[in-house]
Amino acid sequence: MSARDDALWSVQFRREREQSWRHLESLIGKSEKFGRRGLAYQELAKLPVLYRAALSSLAVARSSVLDQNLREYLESLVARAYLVVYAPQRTFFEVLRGFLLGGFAAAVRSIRWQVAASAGAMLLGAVIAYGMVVADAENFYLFVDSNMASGRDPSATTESLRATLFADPDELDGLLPFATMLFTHNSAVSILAYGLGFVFGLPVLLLLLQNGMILGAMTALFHQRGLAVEWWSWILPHGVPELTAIALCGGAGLAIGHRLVFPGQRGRLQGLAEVGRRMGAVVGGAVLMLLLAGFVEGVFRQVVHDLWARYALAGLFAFAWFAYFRWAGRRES
Amino acid sequence: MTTLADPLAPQLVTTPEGLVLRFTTATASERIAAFALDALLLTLLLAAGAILMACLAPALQGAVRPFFALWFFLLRFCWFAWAEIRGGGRTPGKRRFHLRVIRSDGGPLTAEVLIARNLTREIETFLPVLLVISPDLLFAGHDGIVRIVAVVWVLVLLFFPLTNAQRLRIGDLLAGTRVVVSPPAALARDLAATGKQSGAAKDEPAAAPEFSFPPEQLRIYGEHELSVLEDVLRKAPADGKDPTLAAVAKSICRRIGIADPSAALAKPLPFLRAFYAAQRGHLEQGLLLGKRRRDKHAR
Repeated sequence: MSARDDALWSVQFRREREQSWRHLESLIGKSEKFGRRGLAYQELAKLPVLYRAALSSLAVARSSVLDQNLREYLESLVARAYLVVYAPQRTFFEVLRGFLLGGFAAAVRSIRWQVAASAGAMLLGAVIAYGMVVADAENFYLFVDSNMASGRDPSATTESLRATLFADPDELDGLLPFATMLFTHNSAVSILAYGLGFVFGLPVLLLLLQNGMILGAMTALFHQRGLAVEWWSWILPHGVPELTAIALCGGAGLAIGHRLVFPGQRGRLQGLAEVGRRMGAVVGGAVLMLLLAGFVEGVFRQVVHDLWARYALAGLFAFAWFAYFRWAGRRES
Repeated sequence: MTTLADPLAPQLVTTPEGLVLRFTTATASERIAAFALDALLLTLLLAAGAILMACLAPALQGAVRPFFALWFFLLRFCWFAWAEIRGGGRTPGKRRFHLRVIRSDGGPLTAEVLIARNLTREIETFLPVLLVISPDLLFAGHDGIVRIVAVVWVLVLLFFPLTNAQRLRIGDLLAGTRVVVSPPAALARDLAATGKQSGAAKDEPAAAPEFSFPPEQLRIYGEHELSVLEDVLRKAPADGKDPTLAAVAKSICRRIGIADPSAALAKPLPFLRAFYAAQRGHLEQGLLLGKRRRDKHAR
């Protein structure tokens, strides 16, 4: 190289390496714009080499180069390169597959006691409401607002109550909107339960109690009219995935609240991040369960009126979910 | 508790190679701007969906409303997570303002992390927006004290990021993420380089012997003054006709004790360039030998 001997050491340093930095910069630019697929095979193979070279340039520049602009350039270059080189490698479908085949179940297993507590809170709400409505039918209005009841209240006749459990086949047009409405509503509640965990989990318990109370009050109403078997055939097919999903989200909220109150040895911030990521997975899975529940609720339940078929589906769901959460992904963990 | 005037704490990440990288934390205003852009995009997508459904209404018959509800749901709960997963931690709005999400421990930004940080948007942004647009929907059937509590509660969530030094949202806390700003830095020319690389190639070879500085004149200043001089030189116009340059040259001459400053003051830009190169060479020489002079007050 015909470098002048009197040039500063740092000028020579830059002259020798600048080309490789520029090369790295162009590769990163491409990768940031188009993702890894924007890079050809040879470019991909060069990326880590150029990255390490830039990293060592930065280390040298920090300790012994006083060109401010050069240092800022290298800091930014290496930071960007670092994020590209250490980006996650798996594609979306690989992630989804791993999640469904075990990641979800494992995340749920890790909070089984919180899920049990959240199911317990719901059950408690249901029992309280059931008892109070049986004691005095007027109490029904304490738990269910008229908008939600839409005619299913103590003033309705037994016949009209029965009719709500078996949709008129001529009115199937309304099924899709109903299913969508249920799905979006339930998912919103579940995601809310996760977010509310941040406030020490207390609002989560209230939300679960309230949800249980609606169920309990309705159950009391239908039981008193001698419609118990029909009522459970109506509620169980979708209730199994739906109530499970709500219990899971409640459990996730409680787990976050729990970690907030008892941060453990690693401190609140880190513990919270660790549990928060895991619970994000739980909520994502629960939303998928709610999608299934919404479909069953909005379509299957309205079309199929046979009690045995309804109970069979509910039983099948219960067994499948139990088996899934019990065993899926065991081997990997 | 921090205040708005405090500088934001940077996020330090140790690479597997053992070097500590310093990420600049994004300010609240940058994040608000990025969010506003994303919200605008979201609104446009919602409107586009509505128009599309309206056009397809005859074909869809009764299914328009559910499809629209589903579309709204996807945008409201899934769009941010999807955009961040796809863009490697950058939504279109973040991209525009050079923001990006990183993990606080520097680990890979997996899908679950991004989903976890976006699940709380519901209580952090959509609720406050709802409070402004249609408070009745939020308070349905409640009044008095309940409303006040709800408003306070929503405001606490909304302003939570301003209470910590890294502008963390609750979602950031739950997912262990930080939002950093990383504008691409340009590599400008080396001010100490001579020859072809420099812009003022014509007069510089002549300038080099014109000004020379004995070592005792280079012992005055430190790294801080050097970087200030670098700033001055980088901002200077190419023709060197800037009163700042003359003023800087004058004070340098006085400080390092040049007996006759007339040559320097006649050509302030070449003088300052030559001094910059000489001073940098001197200080870097010291660094190689393990001697560091932070500023002129250092002993």
